Amino acid sequence: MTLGPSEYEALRELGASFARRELSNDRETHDRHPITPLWDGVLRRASELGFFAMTLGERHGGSGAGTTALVPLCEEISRVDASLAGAIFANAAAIEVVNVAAESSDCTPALESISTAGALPLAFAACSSPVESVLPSERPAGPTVAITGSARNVFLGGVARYAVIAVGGDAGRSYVFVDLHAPGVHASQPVPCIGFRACPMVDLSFDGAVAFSIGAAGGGLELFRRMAERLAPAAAAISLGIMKGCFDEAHAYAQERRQGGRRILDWPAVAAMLGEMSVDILLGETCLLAAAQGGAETDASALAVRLGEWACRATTDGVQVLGGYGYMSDYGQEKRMRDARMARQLLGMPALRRQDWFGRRWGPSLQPTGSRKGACG
Amino acid sequence: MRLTRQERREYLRREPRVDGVMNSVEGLAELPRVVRRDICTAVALARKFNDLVVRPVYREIDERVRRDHDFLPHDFIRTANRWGLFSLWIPKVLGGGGLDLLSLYPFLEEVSSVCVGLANVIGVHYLGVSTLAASWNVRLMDVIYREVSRASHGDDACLISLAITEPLAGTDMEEPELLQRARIGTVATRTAGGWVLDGRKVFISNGHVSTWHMVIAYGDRRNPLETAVMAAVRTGTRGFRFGAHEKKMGQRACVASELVFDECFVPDELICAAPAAFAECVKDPRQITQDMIDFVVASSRAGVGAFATGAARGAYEAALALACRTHVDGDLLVNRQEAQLALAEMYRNVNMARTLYLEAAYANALRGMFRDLYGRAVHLLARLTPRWCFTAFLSPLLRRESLSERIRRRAFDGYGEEDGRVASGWASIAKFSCSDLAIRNCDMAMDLVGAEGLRLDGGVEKHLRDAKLLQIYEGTNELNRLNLLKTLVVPNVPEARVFE
Ligand SMILES: Cc1cc2nc3c(=O)[nH]c(=O)nc-3n(C[C@H](O)[C@H](O)[C@H](O)COP(=O)(O)OP(=O)(O)OC[C@H]3O[C@@H](n4cnc5c(N)ncnc54)[C@H](O)[C@@H]3O)c2cc1C
Repeated sequence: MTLGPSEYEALRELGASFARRELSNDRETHDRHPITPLWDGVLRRASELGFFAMTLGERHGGSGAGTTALVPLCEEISRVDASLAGAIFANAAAIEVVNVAAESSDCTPALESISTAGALPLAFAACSSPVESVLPSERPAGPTVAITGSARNVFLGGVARYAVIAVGGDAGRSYVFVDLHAPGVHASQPVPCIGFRACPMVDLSFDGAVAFSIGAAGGGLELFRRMAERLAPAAAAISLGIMKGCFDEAHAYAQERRQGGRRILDWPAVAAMLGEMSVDILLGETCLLAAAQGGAETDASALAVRLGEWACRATTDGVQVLGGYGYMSDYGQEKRMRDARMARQLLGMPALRRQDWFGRRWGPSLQPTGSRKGACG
Repeated sequence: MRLTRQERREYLRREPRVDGVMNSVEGLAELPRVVRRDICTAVALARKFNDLVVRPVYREIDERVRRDHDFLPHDFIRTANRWGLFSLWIPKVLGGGGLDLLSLYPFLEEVSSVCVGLANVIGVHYLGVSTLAASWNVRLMDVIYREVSRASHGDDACLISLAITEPLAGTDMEEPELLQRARIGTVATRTAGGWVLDGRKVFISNGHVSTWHMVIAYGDRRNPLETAVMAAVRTGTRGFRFGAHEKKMGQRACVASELVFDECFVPDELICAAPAAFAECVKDPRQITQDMIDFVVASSRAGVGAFATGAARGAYEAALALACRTHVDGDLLVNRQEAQLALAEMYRNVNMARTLYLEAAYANALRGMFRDLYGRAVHLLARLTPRWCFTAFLSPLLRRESLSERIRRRAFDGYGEEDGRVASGWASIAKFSCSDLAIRNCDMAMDLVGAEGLRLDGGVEKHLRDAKLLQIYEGTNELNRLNLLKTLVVPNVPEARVFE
């Protein structure tokens, strides 16, 4: 579904006002999870506003707004606190895997469960593609499968009721839909990690847990690829939002802070860092708008990789502009620097995503370089 | 050879001069051979210390501080103290272990390759040590360094911190040209028998866990360059207290403290340096302040280079280990060419960084404040003389104010401007290059290993959090780039001006 400019702007305003109201005051407290409790209230209110159901079809209780709707929303939220955007993204990625599968197979049990999940988002390993992970194994048991082993780095795995998990079996990699409250499922404590701390990551272990298959056996990579194509604009938007937040804070600080008898903004070293950031933001914004509104999702995959990289650079400089203060959690910059590294990994290793995009743009998918089946082999 | 002696001399006078850019070559010729032995000893010692002390605790300390902001790593400090690490690099003449100062840098690299935060706890103490040394107040050096050494035989360590930075003046405090424009907050007022300090210092590493604090204050806010006072303030002194300590992104093991001075009286015998003490010097007070800053930064910024090399190396080693157990599409990551290219670049970065900080360390040894100690005769004497001889005979002499003053005069008046420039310039190169390379390696490592690199137990992300600070403290990288220009380039370019 393509959004019109006014709908796009309305979603941006919705994201911005939610972030102002719900996220800006308690950013530091939320970031201390699991030392502080998870922001249940924020998740509930985000859910009430439909942030977790935008990509779910209307038949299943969603708004059916599609993945493009996530772009302005995630961008504005990430400007203030990207952890919530991480949660929205992980949930949407899980739903999108089911949506893609539902185009060619029966996913009714999964979709019905999602529509009854209430306020809770779905859990998903949003930072890894199935190709780069050791997966739990599956064993067919009628319409369901029994899974054993562990799934690492699952966002919201300790919070959600349901998860979409990549598994490995005789047919290759596939996806399954798991009830996390079912027997044989265990979630670890939140894994300490660099960012998105209010969107906690856990390791799940399975001991013969029963799960629904999503899509054809062995079709996991294709499902992931198509989901990633649709979600790439949202991943890019998270990086862009982080960069914008970073610029806002750095720019404001540089106008106030004085060193050497003048505002630090007036030292070319500082102006250059801010200039670099704003150039990257302008380019990112222009390309993202084109990708999101023109439906050029394939190109958005490339954009997500590049914006992920730029956000890392911008936030490293964003800390630098604030000097020692930037390194402290009283300010937002150090969190942005950490969150940018999470955002960069959304949808998997950047090198693989680059290769994958290159293959799709210019020719057949590249053979893994370790394989000896080259043209001259 | 088609080169006459005369030509050789003339060509070598051109910039860049061999003795200004090939510090290690100069070092080979000038430095005693035992330096190499001390470096090897320090590396081996650091590796053992890492195995037995650092690796078992560093992640736990990092997480512990995040959970409990008031936690301070006293146990680690006690253990490091028992290992003698806080006095090992203090000269034997002054009661220390006498390991060559050059060997401190590779030691810091080794420890940083596991945890920069814990390496900083040790390294920052030597920042305090070298600041006191930069005042050339040998009487106070003898008193305080001996206390540090005595403490290494007991339970509680005696650490020294350096307090320069203030809430409104960070970069400005690191550069004489900017200092005159700084918004100074900490003032020293002369009174009978000493000085009274008022004001606040922020971000002071090891503040809460140190016994002594080298505090820089100014007699006249509008003329700090000519009125700088360096006072040794002991924890517990009336009028001095700790304020809050910071919630840092990384290097959490090393506390960053606020120090508050409220009519804090420091007696004359604890004043390391004040304008009157230099009255007999030929050099003017501005040049002396510049020398003191050069003395400190030439040594400490090379140290930051060593921390950064450790961080770059730690990130590389963690990435390599993960690449050897991560499968991508059925292949081990380490066998994919894109991963191999990344690993090769990271390996290169580590070695480039090491070369740079060693060049800076050589420059500091040859041209920094301790250059006289590297004369072969002095070096040999210092090594061979039994420790009791120093304690029984030299120590009482050093404590005489008159001798202290004579040594100080010689140290400052005999210190050449060019020496200061080369040592300081190279320290800046090492500082900003190594820390930039560290960030680069951490980001490359995170890119390479995917989601596993985002986790604390993946061993990569902590290096990134720790490394970011290295671009900020000891003068931001922007300041250090400009200092390079000021010290190594501008003297030969009359048209150029820095900080205008
Ligand atoms: C964890 C930590 C530990 C520390 N430990 C110590 C310690 O033990 N003792 C101590 O005394 N200090 C310590 N510091 C202070 C440190 O040295 C300062 O943070 C540093 O000098 C930068 O100062 P600032 O933070 O005030 O940044 P600012 O000086 O405010 O700089 C902000 C930005 O402006 C830029 N800028 C400022 N002036 C100029 C200029 N003239 N030209 C170009 N760019 C400019 C800077 O590069 C930076 O990007 C520590 C700091 C931290 C964060």
